[in-house]
Amino acid sequence: MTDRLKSIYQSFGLPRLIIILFFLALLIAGGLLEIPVPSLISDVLVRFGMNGILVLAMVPGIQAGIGLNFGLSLGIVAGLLGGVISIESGFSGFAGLAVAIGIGILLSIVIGIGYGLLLNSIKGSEMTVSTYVGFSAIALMNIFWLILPFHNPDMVWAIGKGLRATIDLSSRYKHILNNFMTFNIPTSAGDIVVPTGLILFFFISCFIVWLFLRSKSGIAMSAAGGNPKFALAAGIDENKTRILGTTISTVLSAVGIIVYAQSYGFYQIYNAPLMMSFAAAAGVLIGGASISRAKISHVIIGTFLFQGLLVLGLPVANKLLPEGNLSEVMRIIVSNGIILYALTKSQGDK
Amino acid sequence: MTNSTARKITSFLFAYKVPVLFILLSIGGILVSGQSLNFILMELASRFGRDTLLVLALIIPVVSGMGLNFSIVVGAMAAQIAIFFVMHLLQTVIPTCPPVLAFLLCVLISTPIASLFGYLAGKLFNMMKGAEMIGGLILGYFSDGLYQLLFLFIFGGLIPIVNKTLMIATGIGVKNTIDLSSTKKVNGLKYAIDNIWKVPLTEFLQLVFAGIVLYAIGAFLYGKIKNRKVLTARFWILFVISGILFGISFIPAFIQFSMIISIPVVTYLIIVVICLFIRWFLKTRLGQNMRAVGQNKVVANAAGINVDKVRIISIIISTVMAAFGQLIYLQNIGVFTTYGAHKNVALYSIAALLVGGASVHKATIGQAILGIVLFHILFIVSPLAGQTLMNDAMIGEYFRVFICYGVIAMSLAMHAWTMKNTKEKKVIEPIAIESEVKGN
Repeated sequence: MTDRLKSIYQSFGLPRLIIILFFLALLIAGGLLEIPVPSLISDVLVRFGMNGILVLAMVPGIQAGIGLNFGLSLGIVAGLLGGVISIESGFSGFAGLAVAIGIGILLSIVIGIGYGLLLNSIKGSEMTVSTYVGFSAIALMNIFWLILPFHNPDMVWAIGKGLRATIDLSSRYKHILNNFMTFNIPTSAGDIVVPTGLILFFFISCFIVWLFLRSKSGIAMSAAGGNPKFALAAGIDENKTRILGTTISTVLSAVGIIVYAQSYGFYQIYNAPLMMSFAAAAGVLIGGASISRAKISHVIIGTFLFQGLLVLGLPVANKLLPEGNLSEVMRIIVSNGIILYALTKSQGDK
Repeated sequence: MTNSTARKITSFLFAYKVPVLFILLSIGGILVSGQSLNFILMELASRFGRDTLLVLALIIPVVSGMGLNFSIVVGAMAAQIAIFFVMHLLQTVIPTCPPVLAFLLCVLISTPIASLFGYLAGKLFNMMKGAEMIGGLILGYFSDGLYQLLFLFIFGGLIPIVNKTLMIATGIGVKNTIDLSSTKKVNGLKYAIDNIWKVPLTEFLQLVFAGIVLYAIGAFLYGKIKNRKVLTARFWILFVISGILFGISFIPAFIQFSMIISIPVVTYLIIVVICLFIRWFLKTRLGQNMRAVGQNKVVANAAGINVDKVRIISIIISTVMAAFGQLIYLQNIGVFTTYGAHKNVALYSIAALLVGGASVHKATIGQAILGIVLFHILFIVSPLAGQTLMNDAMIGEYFRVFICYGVIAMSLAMHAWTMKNTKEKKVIEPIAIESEVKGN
């Protein structure tokens, strides 16, 4: 019995246990402090949907054997570029969203293939290199955001040149997915708003990736990522499957940032996406993934737990300590702590 | 004959491609920005004084094979904790304490804290061998969270802080910025070291020459007694250069030109001492063990070296040095931004080291110094260069950030690429290392 408990505990990991206990403690504290639960649940649902696809983008990378894709920023930049171009061309509503996603996907396929080729030439140090490649991409794009010839007055600074740091989407497609088929669940303490379209979009994306992972090329990719030698014996071209996984990851992050932005209401450019890949990595790790294995269920559980923690943490922390930003500090500690933990677990025995 | 010289030149350029590229970039930047040379030198003199220690802190972990130590941020945090305590003490108990003593108190407090942090970081890195760099980066972010927890909530919250000058109005949490300069009533840490002895550049050059002559005499006598040749060719090159500079320092035009440049002698002396320490340390038994571990952990282990322990020690030394570096940095800046001062420490230091031509597995003091000079010239001129070239200073700002990230990304990729190639070719050369290990 104790052995079984021990093995369950070991597969679960101490940090995850802490996070779940923390989550429960926050729930109880929230109840005791009489924080309006329905609006919190609505918040959790929205943030669950808006961050989900970025977290999902980690899965193909992990399965293909490149570890945590800290170069997610490359896809994010592609997505932002798609979004900005769609606004510049004057699209709005669903058409605007579709054009943004379409351009984002096209750009991110090109970037993803190049990025995959780079990662193939540096096998063994993917995470370190990709982190800095991602940072460089953001820094380089900062220059381009300033000098690219955009003219739409919604996006450029009234004085000076270059794009605004935040581009408002309220006249374009803000909340277009959130409000799609949305409905309220009335409770005694208020309504729970369900952003049906957003969550549906997330689940459909999950389903597509799930289908892909079960397709022939998906299975080949996971096999090659898990054991390159076995893949070689089975006649799988590991380099190709890695490029495939990297590209899908990049594409998903491009889509992810557009979905994120439509829910947030703004495109944030310049340095805003710098650290997003770390949050996404933390999300999937909290759900139970490791650096070499990840499942769709990890994405769903992890995103829900992580976002739930953040949403619940804010009002509880504010009630306990009105000053300062305790929940932000908590986010930094939790997300980086779980990544550190995952690194120790995967590299320790080498 | 000419063919071989040409080949030599090209191979030299290839080996030093990064510094050469950055020398060209710096010259271009200086020309484009139109910044006057003495202004650049003045800026460079103060930046060199405040940033060099942080870069030197990176060398030892590179030697011991742990790559670029992104976790020097942790050392910077240790320094900042010490500064907060000392500033608080100055406010409450010892307002008239001379700045130098207050600074020494900072050193005294930060050393054990940094050692502890370094020990913990080293323990962590031993659990993730091969991923130290990404681990160090994430550790930096993680400890930033803990640092914020300490400064925002624990100080004033769990640990009562009586004096409210450094605290936010509510009494919980430390202010965003702490001014380190002295006021009428309370002494501060600003320029605590820089102001001990500050001389104009001309005088400094004369001092350096005098120092080198004295060293030469001493070394000559020592060599006579021990019957050994102490002065190397390298020294004579240095001697000639400093002699020329000594001569230049008497030219009136140069005196006019360098009037605005002053050198904080003690800060520079500390840098020299740390450089000598690193050189000496790498020659000791422990330093040689670090080299062996850096070249091949398996062989080093077989030779009876406690690999894990050596790695931990190397991170502790690096962290403590980083703490000293951050103290020097902050006393020069004069304003301690509580939640931001440590954020870019690793990024800028590592980028500077790499600009000097260092890599993930090789870094020398010379590379560190060259890197700092080139990196900071670029930093000084790039906003103005952006202004003149693109009519936008922000472009220059973004360009220099891009340079930081880009040079790190490139260096890491090159390293990984060569590692992969050697692994594929299955070239393992433990024999040479073994003999080196036996030499101990």
